[in-house]
Amino acid sequence: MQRLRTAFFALLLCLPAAGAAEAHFGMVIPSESTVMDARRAEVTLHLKFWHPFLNEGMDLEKPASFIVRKGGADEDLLPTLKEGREQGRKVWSTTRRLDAPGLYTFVMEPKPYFEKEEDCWIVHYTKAYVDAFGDDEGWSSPVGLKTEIVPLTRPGALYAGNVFQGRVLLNGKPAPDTDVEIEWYPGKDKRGRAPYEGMITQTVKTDENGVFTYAAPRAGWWGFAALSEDGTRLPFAGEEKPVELGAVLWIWFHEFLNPEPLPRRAAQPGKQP
Amino acid sequence: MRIPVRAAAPRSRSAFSGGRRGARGIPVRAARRLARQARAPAAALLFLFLLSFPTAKASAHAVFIYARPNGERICTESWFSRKNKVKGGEVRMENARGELLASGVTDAAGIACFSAPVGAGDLRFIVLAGQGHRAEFTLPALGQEAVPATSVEAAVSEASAPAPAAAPASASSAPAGTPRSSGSSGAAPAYGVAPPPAGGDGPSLRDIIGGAGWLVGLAGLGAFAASRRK
Repeated sequence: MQRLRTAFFALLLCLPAAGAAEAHFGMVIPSESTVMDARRAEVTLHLKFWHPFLNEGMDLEKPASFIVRKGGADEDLLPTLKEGREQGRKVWSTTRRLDAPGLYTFVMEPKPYFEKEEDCWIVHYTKAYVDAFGDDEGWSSPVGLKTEIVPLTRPGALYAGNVFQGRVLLNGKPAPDTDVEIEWYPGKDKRGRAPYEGMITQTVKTDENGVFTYAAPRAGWWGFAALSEDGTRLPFAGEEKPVELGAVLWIWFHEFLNPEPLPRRAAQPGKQP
Repeated sequence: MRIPVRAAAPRSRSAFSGGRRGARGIPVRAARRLARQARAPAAALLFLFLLSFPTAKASAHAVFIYARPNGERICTESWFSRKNKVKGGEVRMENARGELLASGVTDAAGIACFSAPVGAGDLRFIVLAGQGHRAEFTLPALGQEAVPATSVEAAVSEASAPAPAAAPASASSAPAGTPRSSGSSGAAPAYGVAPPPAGGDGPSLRDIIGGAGWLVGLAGLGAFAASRRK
């Protein structure tokens, strides 16, 4: 009985640690990562505030802004957002037809969210790319957010196992020694499986130039959240609280396909096969 | 290399007027220094030249075509990159059965336009840009541009598995980019603590024999050391 009691209290002590292992991620998940077929050019964007790996939701209030940038021009998509529910949580979505070749950068700036457990505000500037009809030029250019990840590896052409490199910018400057948390999103109605809770979220650090490197072990959507603070504070219950700034980027890694036989060439007249 | 040396020689000659002179009357030391100086811009030029290769290669390896209705015409644009359009490339307009309806040649801006055929259904545009460069684009028949609208839930599911762009259907047993569940059954335990791999984590026969070998070896070493002490 004594042993059972000890085990029970040990389990209770472990629970907060388990909760802390999963990370919050702003999510902008397009229904297509690349559009090459005009019939699939109607792309749905899903906006959430989530624990991606475990697929556990939190409410996302209507974002402060949601835009798509193409060719240097911004289009406001905020009025088109529709509220929805997933797992009983508040989520948002919209559709945008990609009607011309180019790189479409979708950017969500959420309203600040106060995380009581961490006693701070969280603002995750969240970005996702969709390249259309073979034109993805401009993928290495920053959007100009307060903090963001600028790819150093072409984001629209990654296989599972490839290395992805990005540079974290904070107020337009490289952010050295910054934690970048990484989680896989297994998709609707699925949750990832990890050997233990510490492996739900992986973390890499940026170097002195704000550059980080990561190799995704499998195909799917991978979220990168570079977390920093710049001294910004917001009031909560009469006190000034720090703001965790997140530069979140969602990247699709493709499965590497098996080869196929070359097509047979038509026999030339007068020649024996 | 010759041009910068010769061009710079008069400027530097006064500083080395008393020294040994080589060919063309330039002092040897001065010529060497000038040659060294000339190497820097030459190296920079070479570096820039080499740098230009990846860009050229990257843009030369993929060609794309896109078509859009433009009044009573359909205009295509073909490119290697945004700055490098397909100039003088053949563009073929075919129907869904692969029958040639018309063909044209791209202009300096990579554009080739066609009269829109009436009732032709889906149209396939193919650009042939030389050296085996070929790309195609299917323009759906008017009113059929999009797949049926998906619900939010369905689209979320879809988001986890985007269709492969122009991927060969028979290329893989699994669809491109489809993330499979990491478990074989749907019910994952909390945090998915994975079961040990089949066969268990215990030592194999090979491990046991290897371990015994180590023990024998160490015993032998011990015996050898003991015998030397005697």
